[in-house]
Amino acid sequence: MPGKKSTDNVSDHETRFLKAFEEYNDALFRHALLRISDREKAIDLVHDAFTKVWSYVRQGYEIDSFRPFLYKVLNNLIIDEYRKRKETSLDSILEKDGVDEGLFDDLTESTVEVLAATIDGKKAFELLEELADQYREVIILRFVDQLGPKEISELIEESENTVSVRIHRGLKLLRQKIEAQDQFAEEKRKVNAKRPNI
Amino acid sequence: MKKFSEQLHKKSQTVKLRASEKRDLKDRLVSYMEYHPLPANLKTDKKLVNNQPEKIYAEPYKQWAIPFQSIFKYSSAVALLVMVVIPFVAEKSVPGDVLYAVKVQFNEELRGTLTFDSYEKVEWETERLNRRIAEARLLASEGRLTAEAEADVANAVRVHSANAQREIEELRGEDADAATIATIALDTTLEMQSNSLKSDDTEEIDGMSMASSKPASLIADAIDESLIKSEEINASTTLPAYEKLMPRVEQNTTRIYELIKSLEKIAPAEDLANVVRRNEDINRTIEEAIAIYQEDEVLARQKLVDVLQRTQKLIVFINEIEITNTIDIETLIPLVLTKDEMRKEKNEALKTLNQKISTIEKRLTDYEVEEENLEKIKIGQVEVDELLSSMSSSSVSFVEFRLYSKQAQALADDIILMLESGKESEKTSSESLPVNATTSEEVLGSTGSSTENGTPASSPATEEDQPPVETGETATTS
Repeated sequence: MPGKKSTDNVSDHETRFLKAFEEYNDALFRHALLRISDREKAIDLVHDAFTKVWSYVRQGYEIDSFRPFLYKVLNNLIIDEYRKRKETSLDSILEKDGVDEGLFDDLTESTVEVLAATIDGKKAFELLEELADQYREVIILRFVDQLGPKEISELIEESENTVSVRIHRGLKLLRQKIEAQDQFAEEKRKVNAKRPNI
Repeated sequence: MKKFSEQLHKKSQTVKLRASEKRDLKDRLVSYMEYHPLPANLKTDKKLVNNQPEKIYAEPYKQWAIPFQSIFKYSSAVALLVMVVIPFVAEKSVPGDVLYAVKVQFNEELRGTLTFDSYEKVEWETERLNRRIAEARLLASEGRLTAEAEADVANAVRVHSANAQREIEELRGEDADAATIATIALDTTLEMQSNSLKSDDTEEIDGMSMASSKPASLIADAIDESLIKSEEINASTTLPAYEKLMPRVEQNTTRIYELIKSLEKIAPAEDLANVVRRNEDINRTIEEAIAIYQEDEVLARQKLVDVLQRTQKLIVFINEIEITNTIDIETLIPLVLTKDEMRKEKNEALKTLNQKISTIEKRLTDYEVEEENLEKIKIGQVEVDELLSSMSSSSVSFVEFRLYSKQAQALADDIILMLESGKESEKTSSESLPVNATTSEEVLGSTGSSTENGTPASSPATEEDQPPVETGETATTS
């Protein structure tokens, strides 16, 4: 095991890399799984992300902080995976429902907080899968991986503003879905309640 | 929000790799790392080898950077080499060297083109002529002078002297005096080189190197040829004006001064002393010329022309010192004595002569000389006395004095020798008179021939025969 050879220089890069693996494998796996909803594929993607980072290390790049780098690589892999799966490209989807997001002037953290306060976290988690990927991505990064808006914007190469808007809209959609689900459950309960009466 | 994000996060934490999955993943990764180990350079302490991603070149669009910066950088160096270093090095080349063509065709031509003054052009052509001959001499001293190189040099001499003549002709139209001065300079140089080459010749013949002597005469012929030509052309020239001569002389003396300065470290002390002495002579003559200018302008001019020739010769000689020592400075530029030195020499000569006369008188009283010889000696004594009186007269010039002195000395020596030989022969063989006679004749004959101009005293001496034969007294006096 390379990890045991901690005394010499050979293992300097290796130990740091393996430490990063121990630290982030769960988080990366979680992210990947939530994004693509395929356990096997998610593990593969995490593996690929780590091997890619390793090959960068081998080329002599100094990696100060593994976390953003790993996320970046994984994110790119996920996007590639999407492209493989869908015939239409992600870009075209993004273009379709692209709104001039900068125009939302009420997009502040507080409104997001207010909005988020009205949502049941547990239920939201269940419904993440149903969200479009552009919202799911930011919401996972924000609430699951707990990255700051700046980190997210660097990662997905969008402006911070866009990230905020997407989070906002994602949360709104989540609430709608939760409400719809609640409504559906209510109606179902009503129907069930009525039946014995009949 | 807090509740939501906490809830969501808490919920998400339930999503995890199973232990087996994690183990598998790690095994895969470690084996990948083992198959793709770190390169050797990263296994050392060096933290970072390259910061920048490797440049990726698409195959069909390979890039070449044109190194403008280095082109400009090196082009200046190349230009420096071509414009400065090569010509500089070429200056030292001799015929047959690679850079010789650069020296002759580039350096010298360029310098020739840059001189606009006709006089300077003549001077430069003369200088080039000197250079060619100096090169030939250098080659000869190294034994590298081939017939071909020799012919080239002879040709170059003709060309340069012809060029100089042409320039002089041109100059004559503008400034006759300057043309005359230039002619003097050119002729002096030609004469000087011709003389020195001829002396080289004889020396080389003496030194058994016949091969190089013949081509050297080729150059000498070329010089003589142009010298004759120059004399033909300039036969009817008058003395240049004093005002024109003076600056030229000054220019030459300055040049000589500079040359002496530069010689001080290189030249042997003897040569240097010779040169310095000649320079002093020249300066003295100049002073004389200045002194007599008011009274006798023509004489002053003549003196200056003489000085000009001497300076010219001296310049050539100084330039040649480094190359060859075959030229004898005394034959080229005879020593000119100061008045003090003349007086000193006169006194010396008179002193020795008087001594000799007293010796003769002493001998005459000491030995008994035969009548015939005695007569002869008497005649000689009278002759010597006459010479002595003419020598001591104040009207006689130094040159005449020298001549008289030489004659008187020789005569006195002859007489002494005659007396001595008689005594000697007496001592060695008192009976063999014929032997004595022959020896004395031989002695007289040889001494008589040494005084070339046939002094009156020597002619009667040779006609006489019997030396004095006195036995007892000769033995006692010795």
